[in-house]
Amino acid sequence: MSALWQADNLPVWLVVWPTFGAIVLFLLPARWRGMTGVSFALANGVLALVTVFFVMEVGVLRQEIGGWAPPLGIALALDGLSALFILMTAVVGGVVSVYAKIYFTQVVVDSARSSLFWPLWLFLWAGLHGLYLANDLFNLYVVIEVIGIAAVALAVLSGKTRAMIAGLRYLIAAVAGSLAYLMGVALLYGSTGVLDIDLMAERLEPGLTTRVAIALMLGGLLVKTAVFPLHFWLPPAHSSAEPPVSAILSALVLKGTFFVILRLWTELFGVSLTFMAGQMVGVLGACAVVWGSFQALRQERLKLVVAHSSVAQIGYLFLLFPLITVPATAVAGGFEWAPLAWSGAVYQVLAHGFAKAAFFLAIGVLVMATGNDHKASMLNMVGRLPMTTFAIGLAGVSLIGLPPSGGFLAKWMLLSAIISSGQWWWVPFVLVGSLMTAGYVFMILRLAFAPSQHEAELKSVPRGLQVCALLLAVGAILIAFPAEWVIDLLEGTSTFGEVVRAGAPVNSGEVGP
Amino acid sequence: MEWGRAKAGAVRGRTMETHFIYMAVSSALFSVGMAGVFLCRHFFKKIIATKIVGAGVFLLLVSIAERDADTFADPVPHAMVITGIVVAVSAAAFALALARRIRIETSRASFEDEEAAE
Amino acid sequence: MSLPAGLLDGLLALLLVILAVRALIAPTLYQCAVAFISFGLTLSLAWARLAAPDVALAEAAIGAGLLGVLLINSLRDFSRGGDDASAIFGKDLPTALFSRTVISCGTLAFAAVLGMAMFHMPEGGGLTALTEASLPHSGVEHPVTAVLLNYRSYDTWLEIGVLVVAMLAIFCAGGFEGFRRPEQGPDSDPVIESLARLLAPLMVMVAGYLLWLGKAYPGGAFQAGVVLAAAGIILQLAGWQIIENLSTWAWKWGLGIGFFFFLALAVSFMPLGLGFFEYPEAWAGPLILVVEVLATLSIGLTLTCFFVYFNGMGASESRRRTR
Repeated sequence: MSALWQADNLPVWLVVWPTFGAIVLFLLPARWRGMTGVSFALANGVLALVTVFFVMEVGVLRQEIGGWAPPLGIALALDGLSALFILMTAVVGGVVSVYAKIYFTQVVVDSARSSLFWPLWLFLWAGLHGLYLANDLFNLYVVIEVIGIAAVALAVLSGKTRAMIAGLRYLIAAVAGSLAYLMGVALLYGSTGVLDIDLMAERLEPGLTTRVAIALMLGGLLVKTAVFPLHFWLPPAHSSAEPPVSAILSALVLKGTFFVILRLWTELFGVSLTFMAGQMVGVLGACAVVWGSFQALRQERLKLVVAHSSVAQIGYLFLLFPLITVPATAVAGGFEWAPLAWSGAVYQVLAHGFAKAAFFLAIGVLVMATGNDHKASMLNMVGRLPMTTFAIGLAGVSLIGLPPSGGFLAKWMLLSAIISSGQWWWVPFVLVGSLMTAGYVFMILRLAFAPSQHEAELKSVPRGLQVCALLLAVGAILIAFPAEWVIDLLEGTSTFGEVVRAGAPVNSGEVGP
Repeated sequence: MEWGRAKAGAVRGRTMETHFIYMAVSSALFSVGMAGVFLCRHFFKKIIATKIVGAGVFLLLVSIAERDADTFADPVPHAMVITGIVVAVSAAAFALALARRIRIETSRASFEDEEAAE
Repeated sequence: MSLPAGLLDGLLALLLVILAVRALIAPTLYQCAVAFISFGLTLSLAWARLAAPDVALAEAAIGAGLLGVLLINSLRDFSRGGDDASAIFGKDLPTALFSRTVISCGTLAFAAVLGMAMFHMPEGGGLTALTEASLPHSGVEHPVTAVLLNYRSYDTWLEIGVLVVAMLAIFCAGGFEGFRRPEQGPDSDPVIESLARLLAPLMVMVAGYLLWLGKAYPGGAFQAGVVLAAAGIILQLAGWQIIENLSTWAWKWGLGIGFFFFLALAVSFMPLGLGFFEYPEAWAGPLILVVEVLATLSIGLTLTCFFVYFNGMGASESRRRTR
C-alpha cells in the first residue's frame, strides 16, 4: 500500500480529493451537503499544508500521468508558486466554505437550488488545483473551462434575473477568451509538435506565428482575468452573485488565470517577448488601476464599489510584466529588482485575495442586516455591527496599502522594484491608485462612523458570518509578517526562482526595440 | 527527434494544398466568429458566434493533424478536437439555457435591451 | 492533389464561410439556426476530407445534431412576439454603411494576419510517429481512442467532468422546474410513438456497435453516447418521459457513474505502484472498454437530460402563461 501514500503522489491527491468531494456532494441529498462540504474543505486545507511543507523540503515535483512521459502523456508540476496559490485557495476557500454553510442554511429559500453550491464549488476547487499543477497547454484549456463553467454557474446561483444577465455576459466572454487561448495553443502545437510547457519552451522559436499565438493566448487570458479594457463583464457578475460566491470569484478565480499568464510568460514565452510587449501589458495594468478606482469612487452600491475595486487591484498585478521584461542591454548593471517585483506581485495576489473576500463577506452580513447594499445603509454601522465594520476597515487598510498589511508590503515592494528598474513612469499610477483606493475606503468608513437620524431595525445576523469576514480581514493584515518565509518558498523552490537567481530578465536573449 | 518526418513525404505531396485551404477557412471562421461575438446583439446569435469561433480553432487543429500525417493523421489534435467539441457544446448549452431563462423572465433578447430597460 | 478534389475542397471552404456569415446576419432566428446546422453538417464533410472521421462523427452528432436540436427547441421562446433577429449592428448606428465597411475590413485584416501566421507556421512534426510506436502498449488499435483513453486520459476524464458541471450549471440557470412531472401526460403522436418503438432499440444497438468499433476504428464513447441520447430524445418526444420517471437516486448515479468510475479506475492501480491513470498493460484493453461503456451511459443520459430540460423549460413557461 505504500505506493499510494508516497509523497510523489501529492499532485494527484490535490486533484483527486476535491473532485471526489464534488462527486460525493453531488450524490448526497441536499440537506447533508453543507456539513460534508465543510469537512471536504477543511481536509483540503490539511492537504494544502502538507503540500507546502513538502515543497519546502523537496522542491519542484513533477508527476507523469498514466505512465506516459510527455510529449505523449500529460505531466503535472508542483513548485513553490503553485504551493503558495494552493495554500491561499485553501485558507480563503476554507473560511468561505464555513461562511457558505451558515449563509445558505440561514438565508436561502430554495434549498434544492442553493445546495448546488457545494458540488459546483468543489468542482471549481478541483479545477483550480488542476490549474496550479498543469504543465500541458491543452490540459490547461480543459481545466480553464471547468473553472469557467463552474464559476458562471455559481454566479447565477441566486436565480435573480440580474445575476443571469451578468452571468451570460460572463460566460460568453469566458468562452470567447478560452477559444482565443486554444487558437494560440493550436498554432504553437503546429510549430513545435508538443503540448508540454517545458518541452515546448525548448523548441519554440521567435517568429510571426509565435507572436500571433502569444497575442491570442494572452488576449484570451486577459479577458478572463478582467484586465482593462476587457473587464466589462466583471462588475455586474461579481456584484450580483451571492456573497460567498463573490468572494470566491474575486479572490480565487481571477487569480487562477493570472497564475496561468505568469507561468506562461516566464516559462514559455520568454524568448519571443519584447520590451514593448511588457510595456503594453503594463499600460493595460496602469489604466486598470486608475479606471477601476475611478469607477469604484462613483458607485452608489457597496457591492459595485468592491467589484470595480477588483478591476483596479488586478491592474497592479500586471505592473510586474514590464519590470521582468527588459532589454538585455539595460541589465548590464544587474537585475536585482526582479525578486522584489516577483514578491510584490505575489503579495498583491495574496493581499487582494484575503482583503477582497473579507470585503464581500462583510457586505453579505450588511445586506442580511439591512436588506440592501446602498451606501446609506452603512450609516452608524460602527455602533451597530462593530465586528463587521472592523472587518471592512482592516480589509480597506490592506487594499489601500497602509502599513502593516499584506497590501502595504505588496505595493511597497512593487514600488521599490519600479524605482530601481528605472521605469519611473509607473510610479504615479501606483500612488494615484492608492490615493483613490483610500478615497472610496474612507468614504465607506466615514459613513460607518456618521450618526443617522432614523435607524431601521437591523435583522439579526449569525455571529459565525461576522467572524468569518473578520478572520479573512485579519488574515489580510497578518500575511505581512511571514514575508520572508513566503519569499523563501518562492525563490528557493520554484522554477521562478531560477529566473530570479540567474539575475536575468525574461527576454535576455533578445534586445528589445 | 525524427518522429513524424520519415514516411511523411509521399502523403504530403497529395495533401499539401488541402490543409492550406482549410487553414485559410479556419482563420476566416475564427475572425468572423469573433466579430460576431462582439457585434451581434441577439443572445442567440452571440452563442452561434462562439460556436463558429470554435469551429475555426478545431479546423486549424485538424489541418495540422493532416499536415503531420504519417501512416495515419496525427491523432493528438483529433483527440483535442473531440474533447473541445464536447466542452464547447456543454458551454453553449449552458449559455442557451441562461439566455432562454432571461428571455422567459424579462423578454429581453440582448444585453442592450437591458440597458434600455433600466 | 487532383483537380476534382481541389475543386471539392474549394467549394466546401467557400460554403463554410458563406454559411458562417449567414448564420450571423440572417434576418430571422429560424434562418440563423438552419444556416448554423447546415454549417455543422458541411463542417463534418470538411473533417472527412481532412481524414478525421472521428471528429466528423462527433461534430455531426454533437455539434450539429444535439446543439441544433437545442437551438431549434429554444426558438419557441425567442421567436415569441416576432422572429426578428436584430441585425448584426445596432439600428442606432447612423452610418450603417460606414460601420459595415469598417467592421468587414477589420475582420478581413484580422483574418489575414491570422492566416499569415498559419501559413508561416514551422512544421513541428506532431506526435504521429510516437503514438504509432506506443500503440501496441495502449490496449486498443485505433490511435484516436488510444490518445483519448490512454495517453491523455486525464483530459478525457476532466472533459466528462465538464459535462457533469454543465448539467449542474444548467440547473442553476433555471432551478429544477424543467424536470417537474407534468400534471397530465403529454399528448403522444401515434406516428412518433410507433416510430420510436422501431427506432429506439435500433439506435441503442448502433450505439453499442459504435462503442465496440472505437477499439479499432473511428467511433467510441462520445459518438456512442450521442446516439444513445438521440434514442432518449426520440423516446421523450414519443411521450415516454424516461428521465422524469427515474428516481433521483438512479438519475444522479447515472449522470455521475462515468466520471466516478473513471476516477476510481485511475487511482485503483496506484497501490500496485503504477501511476495515476496507469493501467497494467495486459488489462488495458478490457478496462478501457468498461470505462467507455459507463462513459457512454453517462454521456447519453446527460445529453438526454439537456434536451428534456430545455423542452421542460419551454413547457413550464407555457403552463405558467396559460394559468
